[in-house]
Amino acid sequence: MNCHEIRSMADAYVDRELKGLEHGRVENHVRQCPACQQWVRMVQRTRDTVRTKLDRGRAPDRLTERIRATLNDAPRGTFETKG
Amino acid sequence: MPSRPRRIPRQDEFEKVALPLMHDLYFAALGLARNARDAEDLVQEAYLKAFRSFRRFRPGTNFKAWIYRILVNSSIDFYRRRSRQPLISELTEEAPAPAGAPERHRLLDNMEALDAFVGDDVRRALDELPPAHRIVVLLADIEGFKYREIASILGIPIGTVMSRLHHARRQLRRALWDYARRQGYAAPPRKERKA
Repeated sequence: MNCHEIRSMADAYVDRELKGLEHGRVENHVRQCPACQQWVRMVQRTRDTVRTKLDRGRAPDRLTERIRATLNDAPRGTFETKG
Repeated sequence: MPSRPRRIPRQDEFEKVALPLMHDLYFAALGLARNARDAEDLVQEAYLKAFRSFRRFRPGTNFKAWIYRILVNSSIDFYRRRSRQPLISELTEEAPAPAGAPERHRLLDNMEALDAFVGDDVRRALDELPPAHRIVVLLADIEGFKYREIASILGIPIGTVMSRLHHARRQLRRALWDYARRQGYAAPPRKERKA
């Protein structure tokens, strides 16, 4: 595997989504390649920035009542029964 | 094939599992709709559809992924009905890989710039992504879904999830970097190349 291939897999690697063998191959390369190490660190930090800094906020309070009202009004004959 | 109960689900049973997810679903809907009014309508519609087909949900499987799939499908229907923002239909279609120069630059040498970002900066950068890319970032990085769950929610192969996420994060880094430079969070690179 060359650096280009490793970098195209870096996202799946930091997400721990690669299968055992692939994960191992990327890990071995990254361990020996300072440039790819830095790349992986950047991918990880960007992901963590999104995870930690994005404010999820809350839905408006009225939404719960809107949903309940919609469910209350749902005609009971329209439920899907197909399995 | 195991038999499923045929009785009509009780509303309180549905609410018990579904309503705790409302804030998460609303947040995802904002990513799909990008305005609060549409996001509320989308969530409301998704809840109604989920309630109607609740008996098809198999207990023991992932309810959160199930209702997110309904939300995504609702958003596609929602905008198709309104005949606007066709971009939403791109959610399930192949998104183009971003054009531009290789990424040798920038955040690699200025990772500390990421520390300066606040939530609004990240939101702005996310909003710049095409919807098909934005939704995979939201599902993976915010909602914490595994790739196979995202594939099921969006109805696309896992390989497509992987490549979309790769391209999406690349675009996101670019957007964050551009923003960091404009805001003065990051020092200009030694040799700036136009991307």
